[in-house]
Amino acid sequence: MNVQTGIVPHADEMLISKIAHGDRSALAALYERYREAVFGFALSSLRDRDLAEDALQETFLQVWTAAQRYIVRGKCPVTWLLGITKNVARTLRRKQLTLLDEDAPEIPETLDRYLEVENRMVTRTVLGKLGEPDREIVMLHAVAGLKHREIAQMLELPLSTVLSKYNRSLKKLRSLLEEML
Amino acid sequence: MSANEKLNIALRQEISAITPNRVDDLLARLGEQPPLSDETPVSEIPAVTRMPSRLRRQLIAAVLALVVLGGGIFYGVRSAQRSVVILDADAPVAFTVDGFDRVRSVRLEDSHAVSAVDAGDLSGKRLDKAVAEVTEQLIERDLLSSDENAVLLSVQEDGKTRADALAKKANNALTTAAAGHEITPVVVMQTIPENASSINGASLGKTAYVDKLVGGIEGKETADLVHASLEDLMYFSNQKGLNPEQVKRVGTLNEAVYYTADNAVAIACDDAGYEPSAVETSALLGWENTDLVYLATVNAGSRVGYYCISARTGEILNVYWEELNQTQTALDGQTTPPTLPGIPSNTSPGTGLPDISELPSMPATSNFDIDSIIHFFELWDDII
Repeated sequence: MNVQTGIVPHADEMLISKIAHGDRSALAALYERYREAVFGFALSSLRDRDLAEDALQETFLQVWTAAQRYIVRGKCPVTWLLGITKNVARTLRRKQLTLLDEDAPEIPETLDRYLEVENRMVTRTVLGKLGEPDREIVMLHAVAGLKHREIAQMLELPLSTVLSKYNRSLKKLRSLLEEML
Repeated sequence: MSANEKLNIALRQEISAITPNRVDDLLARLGEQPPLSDETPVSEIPAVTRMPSRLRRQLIAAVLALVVLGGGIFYGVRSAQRSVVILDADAPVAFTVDGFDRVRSVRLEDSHAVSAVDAGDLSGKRLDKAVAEVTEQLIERDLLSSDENAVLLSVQEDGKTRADALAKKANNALTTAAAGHEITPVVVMQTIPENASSINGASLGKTAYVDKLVGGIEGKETADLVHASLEDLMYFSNQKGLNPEQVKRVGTLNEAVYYTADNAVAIACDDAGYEPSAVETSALLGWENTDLVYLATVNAGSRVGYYCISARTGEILNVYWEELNQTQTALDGQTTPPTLPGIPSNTSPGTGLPDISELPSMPATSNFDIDSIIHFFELWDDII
């Protein structure tokens, strides 16, 4: 228990605390637990598989060094983790050679082909048919399990905006996927 | 599982399948951890600022207490509300209903209802369920059928919105239950005030309905017709075009069970032994006490027959023949004609026939009744 706050740390916060003390297995455990959430969010932001993989690795590298600055608040640190991912993705996007239009109707061909081959219809639709930040909202909720309030804070959007965008996006996805079937 | 949940699960599964696992590569890239600093950590979780947990618990407890109190007050108010819904298919059943549309008590309003309806299990049930059960009982006892399909639905409730909602709920339950037996009722719906009263042992609803109708019936009061059958009242109001404003009707009365005015004329002529085309005829719809009847007249020139014929069965209930332009000789020895009840037979020969022009004429009323006819002939007796 944190003496200052009286708060019992979350299990993940215990992991981060161990990471701060140089425990590599704790980092591996955190990676195993949250790699899908981090990758999914990075993919929704970057819409590039290679860059999303880079973002995944870079996020946890930064966790290794940032763990010491983490403050125990008795809450699941996923939002802290994904906050790092958001910054990493922003940095990677700036380094991209090809300028990606945020509202581009189509995803890059390589990714599209990859998802098609792998039969990932839902992911293709999310990445290809939703704009930003709609696809990020959907990914954060569906894959990372964040609540709408947490998403709103993370993306610095009003809660009502997140809720309405989420609902509209799901409705759109259902409609598009029904057409495809 | 909702469609959205399925979509989320599908997305999660797809991402899980394509997410790489390069933990070894990650661990291989890790450098040495910098030494732990004594400085206060500066990075913060970009999360909601939370209030201290003790205050949070107190706030939650206060909100819960308010919710419980509010809910209790709401429940108490709604529970104490009372409205009355009366279902009447000539066997009136009154449901007292609370704010949650639950039946709190049931009253069988006359002897027909007492003999026809078993109200034992109805208290505590939802109004629509109770109405459906009573409807089934009425059908079973033939009080509601394809031939006898009139129902009066009255709501005693001052709030119009609430009254309309209760009427609609009860009507839906009634028509749905009846439809199961291929019966389509005609439902007359009305709202009655809280201070309404009944007459002559009739139900509140029936009294209120007849009260609305008699305004258009000359010479009749509510008490006269409050025990007439609903079908007869509705048929009469249809034929006379009586449409009280405060009454809403849904469905069609089965009028095929009634004899028409032409039917009544044909019956009278047949009994009198005349062809309808050979005589002057007429038929008026009216009331003989609480029976719906036609007064059919057959005017053969020298005599006029007045027939009282049941509009329901076509039965000749009464007939009186009047001989016109009678001479003294014609009167002597003549068999006393059949009399209407209450009229003394005129067996004493008169000293001479009065001038017909001095005699009172037949009351010209389109809503005749037998009492008027009797009164008319009483006047004749007085004069003769």
